[in-house]
Amino acid sequence: MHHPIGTRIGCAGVSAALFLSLAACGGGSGTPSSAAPSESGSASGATQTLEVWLPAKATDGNDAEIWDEVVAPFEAEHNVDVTFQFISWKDYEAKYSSGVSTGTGPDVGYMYVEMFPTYIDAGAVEDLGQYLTEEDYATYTTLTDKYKIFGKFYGIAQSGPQAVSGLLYNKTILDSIGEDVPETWDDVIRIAQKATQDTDGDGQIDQYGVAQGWGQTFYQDLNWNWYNFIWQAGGDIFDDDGKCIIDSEEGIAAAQLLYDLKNTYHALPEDTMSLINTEAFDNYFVPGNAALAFVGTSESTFNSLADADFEYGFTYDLKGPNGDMGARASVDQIVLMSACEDKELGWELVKYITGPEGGAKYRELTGSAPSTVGEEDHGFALTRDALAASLDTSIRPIKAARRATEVYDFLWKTLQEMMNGDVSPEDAMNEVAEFANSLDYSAPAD
Amino acid sequence: MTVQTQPALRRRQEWSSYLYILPMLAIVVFFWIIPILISVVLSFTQYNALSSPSFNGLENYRALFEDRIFRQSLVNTLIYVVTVVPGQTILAFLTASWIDRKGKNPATQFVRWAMFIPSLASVSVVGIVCRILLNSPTSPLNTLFSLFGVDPSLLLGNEATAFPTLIVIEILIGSGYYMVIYLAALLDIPRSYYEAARIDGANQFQIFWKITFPLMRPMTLLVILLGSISAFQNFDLVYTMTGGGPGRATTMTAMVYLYLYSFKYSKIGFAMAIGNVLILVIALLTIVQRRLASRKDNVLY
Repeated sequence: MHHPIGTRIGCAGVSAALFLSLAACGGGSGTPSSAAPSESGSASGATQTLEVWLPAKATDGNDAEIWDEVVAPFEAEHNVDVTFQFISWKDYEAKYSSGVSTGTGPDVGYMYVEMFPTYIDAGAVEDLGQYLTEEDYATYTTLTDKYKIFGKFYGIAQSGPQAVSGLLYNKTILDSIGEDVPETWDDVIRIAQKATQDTDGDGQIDQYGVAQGWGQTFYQDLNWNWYNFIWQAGGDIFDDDGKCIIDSEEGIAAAQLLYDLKNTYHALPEDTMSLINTEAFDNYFVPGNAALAFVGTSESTFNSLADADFEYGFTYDLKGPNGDMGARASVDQIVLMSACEDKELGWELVKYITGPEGGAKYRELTGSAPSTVGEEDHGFALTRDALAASLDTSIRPIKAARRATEVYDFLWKTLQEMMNGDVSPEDAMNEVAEFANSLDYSAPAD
Repeated sequence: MTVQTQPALRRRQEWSSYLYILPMLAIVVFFWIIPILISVVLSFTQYNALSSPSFNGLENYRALFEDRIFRQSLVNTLIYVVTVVPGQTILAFLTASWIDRKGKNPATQFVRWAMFIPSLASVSVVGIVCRILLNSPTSPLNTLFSLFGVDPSLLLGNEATAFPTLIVIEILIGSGYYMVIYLAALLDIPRSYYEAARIDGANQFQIFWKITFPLMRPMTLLVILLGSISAFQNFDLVYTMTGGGPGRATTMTAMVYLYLYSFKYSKIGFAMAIGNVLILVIALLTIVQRRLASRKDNVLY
C-alpha cells in the first residue's frame, strides 16, 4: 500500500540516522583505531577474512563474478578469504557511513573524492604514506600530486581517469553552418547561436546549439555542467585551504557563459530546466538536433550514438578566455580502513587489487583505463588516444574539501535558479561563496 | 489437586494479560520511544555519525529557525498537506460513492483497479516512471498533452508548475488507497436507510448529502488523519522527481530536507532537530483529530 510504504521510507531518514547514532554512542568497536601496521596473519596457518565494500558497477550485475576471478590468486597465496559487498551507488555513502560508525564496516573500501574528508577527519581511513615504497611510486601512474587528498595519499586509484567530461560536436551541423571543431568559448558561443534555428520552416526552433539539461535532482550534473567551465575560466571552487573562491572573476565568467547560452542566446532546448543532462543528450544530440553537448565520454555515451546518421567527434581541450583547459575525470580510490585488524594484509590486498596483477586483471575484465606503468590499455578504444593526449593538459579530478557535498548541492540549486533567470551570475556566485564560507571547513584539532 | 483462590487467579490473569501486549510494547519501546528520545538528545549535539557527538545546546534549533530554506520547506510541507489531503479525500470519496452506487460492472472494476494499483507500487518507482512520462518526447503522456498544446516536459523545470505537478501526482497515486477504505465503509451502511429515503421521495443528491455524507464523517476524519500524516512525511515522490528543486526551495519539503542533512551532509544533530520539529507538528495534528473524532455523533457502521 502506498501510505504505509511512504511513511516507512519517509521515516527512514530519522530512524536510520538514529541507529547510526545509537551505535556511535556505544563507541567501542566502532571507533576507528590508528594502530601501526601489524605482522600479516597469513603466516599463522589459519584462514583469515578480509571484507571489501565496493559500489555495484557492472552493468550486467556480475560484480561478484569479476571480483572472485580477480582475487582468487591473492586468496590462495595469502591463505585468506576475501569477501565482497556490492552496494548500489545510491545507497553507497549511507551504507558506508553506517557500517563504519557501528564497527561493521569493511577492511578495504572504495571512496570517491567527496567521501574522503569526513573519514579522514574521523581517523577512519589510513594515510598510505607509511606503506608506500619508492617502487610503488614508480609503478602507479596515479600517485602524483593531482590525486592527493589534503596533500596525502589515502587511497590508490582503481583505474585511470574515467567518465571524463568532454565536448561532443555534431560535425554535420557544424559543416552546415560553416563552422569547424570548437576550440574556445568564443567558438562555442558562435556555434551555439548559429546552430539554433528552425530547419523545417514551420516557425518552431527544432535545432539547438547545446543539448544541456539542468533538471537533475542533486548535484551530479555539476560533473558535466560546471567543473570544466570554471577550470577553463582559470578558477576553482575551493582553494588549497578549503575556502570557497567561486565568487572570483573566473567563477563569475564561467557562470556568465552558461547563463548567456540559455538566457541571452537562447541556444538551449526549451525544456532544459526539466531534463537531466543525459536526457537532454538523448533527446536532442542523439537524434541530431543539437550541435554541441557536454557529457561524460564513457562507452555507453558513444553506444547511444551507434545509429546516428550524422558525423560526430569530441574534444577534451576546450579553452577558456585565457587559454586554460579542464576536463573533469573520476579517479575513485581503493582505501585501507583504520579498523582493519591486520593492516599489513589489508595493504597487500589494496596493492594487489589496484596493481599490475589483480588490478590489471580487473581493468581487463571491465575495460578500464590503466593506472600502472607499462600496463596494457583496456579502456574504450574510441577515447583512448584522446585521453592519453589530454591527460597532463586538461584532465583532472575535483579537489577534496570539507563540507563539499553541502556546498555542491547549494551550488547546483543556485545554478538552477540562475539559469531560470532568478539571480544574476555574479549574485549566484556571491551567494554560494557566502554560504560555503559560513560553514566550518577547518581541519579538526588533533 | 491444587485449588486456586479467587485473588490468586485474578493476579495470574492480570499478569498474563501483560504478556499479551509485551511483544508490541517491546517493538514500540525499541523502535519508536527510544529512537525518539535519542533523537531529542542528539538534536542538542554536533554529530556526523563517525565522530563522537559534542553538546552544542540549542544551536541546531537556533540555526534551524534562522534557515530560510527550512522555513520554506515547512511552508511547502503545509501547502502540500492542505492541498493533497483534501484533494485525495474528495477524489477517493466521490469515486467510492460512484462505485458503490453503480455496483459491480466492468467500468467500476476498471476504475477501482486503475486507482488502487498505483498505491500498491513503491512511490519511488512511481516517481521515476512519472518523471520519464513527463520528460520523454515519445511517452504516451507527452502525446496526450500535445493534443491540447501542452508540453509536459516543461512542468518539472518551471518554478511555477513544479510543485503543483507533484501535488496532482500525489493526489492521483494516493487516492486509490483511501477509496478502498471509503468503499468498505460505504458497503457497511445498512441498505434500509437508502430504501427508506427513496420511499420518502428523496432524490440521489439528497440521499448522498443527508445519508451517505454524514455517515462517512468518522471515516473521513480517519482518512484526513492518515492522509495528513502521510503528506507531512512525504519524501519519496519529491526526492525522486525534483529533489526539492528546481532551485533551492521550490519543492523542498521538511522530510527531504531532513534526509539531505542526515545522509548527504552527515549533520545528524541538525537533522534530528528537523525531525523533532516535525514530530511536534504531527503530534499536535493527531491531538486535534482525536478531539474531533471523540464526538458522540461519530458512529462507525
